Amino acid sequence: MHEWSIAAGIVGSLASLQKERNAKVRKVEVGVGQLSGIDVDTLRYALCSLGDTEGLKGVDYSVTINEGRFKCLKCGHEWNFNESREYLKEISKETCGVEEPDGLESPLHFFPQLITVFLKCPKCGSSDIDVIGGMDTVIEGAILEGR
Amino acid sequence: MNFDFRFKMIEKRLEDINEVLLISSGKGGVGKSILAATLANRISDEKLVGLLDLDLHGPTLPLLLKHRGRLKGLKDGIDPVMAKNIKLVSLGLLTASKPMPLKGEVKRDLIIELLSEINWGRLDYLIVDLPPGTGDEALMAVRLMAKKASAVLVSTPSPHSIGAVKRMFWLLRGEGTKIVGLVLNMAYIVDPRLGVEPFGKYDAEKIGKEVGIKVIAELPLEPEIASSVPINMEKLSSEFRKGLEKIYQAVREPQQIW
Repeated sequence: MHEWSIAAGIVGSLASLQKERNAKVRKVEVGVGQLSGIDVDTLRYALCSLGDTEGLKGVDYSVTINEGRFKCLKCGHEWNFNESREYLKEISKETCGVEEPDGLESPLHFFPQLITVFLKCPKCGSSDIDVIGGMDTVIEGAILEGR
Repeated sequence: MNFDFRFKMIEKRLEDINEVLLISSGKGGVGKSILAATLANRISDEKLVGLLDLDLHGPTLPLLLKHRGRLKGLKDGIDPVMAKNIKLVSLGLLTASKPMPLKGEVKRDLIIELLSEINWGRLDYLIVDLPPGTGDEALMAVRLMAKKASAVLVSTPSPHSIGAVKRMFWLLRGEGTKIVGLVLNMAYIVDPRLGVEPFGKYDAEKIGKEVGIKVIAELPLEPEIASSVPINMEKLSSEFRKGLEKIYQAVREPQQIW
């Protein structure tokens, strides 16, 4: 569900960019932070659907997932999101889920920045963790063509 | 390239909000959240009000308003919960009572995400309970809402608190934020037998001159608030309610804006 509001934000920004530069957007690269659990297919579909009504018809959207990676600042252990995925799924939905029409969704889906509220280092149990990859969903690049 | 499309989303969200009122201090424990909650209650009697809790490390508004509901995720963003007739958003609704070990850059990012994702709809006032201090998150929040924002500063009459509020005053001035005035909170105790000023004798006019801004209200230390959850507006002392009226009056018709 959240994919649609992200797509609306991206499309709105691209439409403004086209106007500012008096150019046509041809290709866009979007990097999805793995922590949010954004569904890539849904996001791509939403981008195309919303883009059609914002003068972005025919834009080639390349959407890739940026791996979630963490480093414990207490013991130095590094690990990736997949190692903690199941644990996070249970904990974050249980008491803190966001209500969606088809059930409860993890708060991390909307606010991946909250990861350290729920995550602990699997080695030493510390909450002093740095996210070193896979947090935000960002426009990584766009190719524009002059009109 | 890597530009942040969320800024565009924030601009759009703010379009439907008439005014953003930042409740700020520069110091914790001066009663920002209580002022934000009671003022929101008062204004919501006649206006459309949203209340945003940006105290990222210690969100208290769900507790003060006794709300345990869940935020709703919809196609166009996240809908606030309704606490009586106030639209409420707080990270407390997403993290329960867990500790929140959030760091500088992450906090800035979280503020951007919150402001871009929440679908407030049309509001007369969005009251924002700013985090204590003059750090990353306060600065980011002020900057992102600058076009629509004015600020109410809160302090106790204690010299330590006044020092912190002066820092916040200069930070807001630097960002070009309008400042409605200063509220002295927990300034006295309503009890003729006691006649106590818990932070010592103070002179509101002198404090106003020291900070560089007018004191618009002096609020009593309110035992009713300290002992009851949710806040029961009916049980607040008449002095506290008069103080709220003065603040609301200053917000509606600011005499002097810095």
